[in-house]
Amino acid sequence: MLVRPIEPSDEDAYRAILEATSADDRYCRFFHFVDHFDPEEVHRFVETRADMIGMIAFDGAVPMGAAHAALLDDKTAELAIVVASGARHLGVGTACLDALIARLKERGFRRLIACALRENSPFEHLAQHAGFHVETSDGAALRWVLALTAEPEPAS
Amino acid sequence: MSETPWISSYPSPARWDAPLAVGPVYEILDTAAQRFGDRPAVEFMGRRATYRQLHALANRAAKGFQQLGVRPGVHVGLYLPNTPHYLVAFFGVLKAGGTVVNYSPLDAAQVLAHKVEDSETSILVTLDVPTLLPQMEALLGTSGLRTLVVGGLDDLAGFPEYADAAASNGAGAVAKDGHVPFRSLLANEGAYQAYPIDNPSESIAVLQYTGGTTGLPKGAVLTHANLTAAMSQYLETTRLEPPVLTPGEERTLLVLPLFHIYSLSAVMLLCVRLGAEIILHTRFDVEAVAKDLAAKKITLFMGVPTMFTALLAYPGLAELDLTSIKFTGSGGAPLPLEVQERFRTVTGSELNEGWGMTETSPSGTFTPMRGMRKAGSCGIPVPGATIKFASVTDPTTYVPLGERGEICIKGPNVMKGYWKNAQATADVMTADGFLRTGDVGYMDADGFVFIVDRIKDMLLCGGYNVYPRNIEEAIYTHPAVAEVSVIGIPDEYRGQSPKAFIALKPGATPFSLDELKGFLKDKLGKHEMIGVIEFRDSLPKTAVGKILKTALYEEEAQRRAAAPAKV
Repeated sequence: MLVRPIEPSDEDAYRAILEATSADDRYCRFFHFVDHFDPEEVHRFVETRADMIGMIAFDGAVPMGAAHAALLDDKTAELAIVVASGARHLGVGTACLDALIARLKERGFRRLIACALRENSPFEHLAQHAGFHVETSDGAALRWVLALTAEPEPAS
Repeated sequence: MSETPWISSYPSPARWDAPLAVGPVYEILDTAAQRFGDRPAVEFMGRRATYRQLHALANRAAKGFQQLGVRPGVHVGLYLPNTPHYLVAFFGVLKAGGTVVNYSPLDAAQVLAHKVEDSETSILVTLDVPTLLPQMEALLGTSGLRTLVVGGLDDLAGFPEYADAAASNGAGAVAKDGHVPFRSLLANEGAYQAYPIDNPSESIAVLQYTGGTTGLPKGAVLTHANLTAAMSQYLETTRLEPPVLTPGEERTLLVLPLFHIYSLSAVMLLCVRLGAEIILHTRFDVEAVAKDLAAKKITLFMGVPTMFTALLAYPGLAELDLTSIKFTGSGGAPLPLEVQERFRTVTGSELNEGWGMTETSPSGTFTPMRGMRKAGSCGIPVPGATIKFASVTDPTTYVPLGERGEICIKGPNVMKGYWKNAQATADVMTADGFLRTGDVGYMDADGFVFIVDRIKDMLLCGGYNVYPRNIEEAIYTHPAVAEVSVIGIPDEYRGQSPKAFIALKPGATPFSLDELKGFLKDKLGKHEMIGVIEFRDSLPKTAVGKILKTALYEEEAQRRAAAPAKV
């Protein structure tokens, strides 16, 4: 498996990952129903941006999953992960997340947050494995937090 | 705080640790027929059957069902309004050894089809009315459904007399089209083969479908022990000195739909257990209910807040003599304090709020009829039930009583699990065997439970559970819709009403609420239908593109706060 930073040329690969997910997976990713992806929306997640870091995983030429961190300020980033249905249980999410965390640490980020629906058990397993904890509960969604430094977390 | 602070709040002589009788559900009717045989059991449209007659009709139905192949393991659907057919068929199925599967006339076609397949319903009882029969005929032969027992409104003209009618050919022969008249189900002498229930905790009485935040409804497996334990719990909560309820002397007006667990368990079964007369109304008509409460000297009345709101708005209520009412219960949704207080002022009777859910048969908490009461609380745990609170951020741990957490309940009324869905069952059970309810609350030092939030995306509309995701999925199939998110907004009558925020596809033309309702008609249940729509260029999202329902809720709250107060 190759995990590398996402590039504008990955537009088709990223779209292929999104389209290879189930309706439930997409609801967990976007918190609403999605069955088609506008080119602008896909492009937003592959273009080179100052406020987003993305990693993408391939098995040979086959795109398997991607993770993004939207940079909310100079200390905190918000996570989103998507894994193609056929690439589940192969460590794709973990690999993308580890690569993303390494990049965030290099840039001095201190907190990675993630909003996830309670029923998103695949993410729950991934988050717990990576050391996230639930910071707050907001009805049907949980806000998970991972401290990226050993220093005390700043107040949220 | 003690782990069971509610025990000291029990009104004497009722006890939390009272022994709870459990057994076959149909024995409730057998006992009522023995004790109160000549007392009225059911009244419908002016026709009245005694407990002896109801018992005889149930026995005949049991024999008729057995002639159709019902025996232990066979699942029989009831797709009926509140008519005597329901009581006769319900007890008939259980006496025949079968399991009842309840179907809601509110359900959309695809939900009905799912329930038939998932529950393995092979025989179903319905009525020959346009709102019911065609929906099930569409499934006959295209699903596992092979026989429809079809009642008619003309059955009702003489239903008590069928108990004494001469036996004829019976229901053994099913017409080629799979239809069997309800009357022929009763055309026998009632000598059915009894299947003793050795273990009521294992034998399934009812599959009661309930929705979820994701996917199609799941069947809660309610055993004979679950339902009879719930009866025992309800009865114990009314055991006071001097007694409030007297077996054989009570009368209820049953207007809650019998396919709903609240009506089935807390009204129908409880009243049969009490030997009470059940006056059936097919639907909630506020004038008819108000007049019958007085004219028929109702002593027990169970409803949902929506009904009490409507009753309080009924102009003639204050002139009616409602002094016969001994007990009024409210469930299905939080009871607004204002409604509770106005009801007391107008009728002189307390509205007693309780909480429960399908999975708890549905007992859970109750408000003591005498002694301590607390505004805004749904009461204390019913006898034999223990309530704890799980952390909302880590459901594997409990928070101390007094702190907010997800309400978890354990007791003999808690379901065996979800039908053929071990994963869903595991998802709602804690390691120590408590049911996670999805409701968030806390318990005070006297054991009173206060519900403050919900951790599942669910609305309570007129007493029905409504899941926004189901509505979103249906609206998203509209060709003009790019994005949709549904939240609950306050509704004075229904409690909550679904509101959809919609972003249209580029160039798409906005549509009206009525047009959307027309589009959704065969996709959503009547109870799920959208109440308000609002078009937006885009919906609020987090930085990574997740829709923020909290932002929509906050916007709605701000809008309401800014709106001029009603006078």
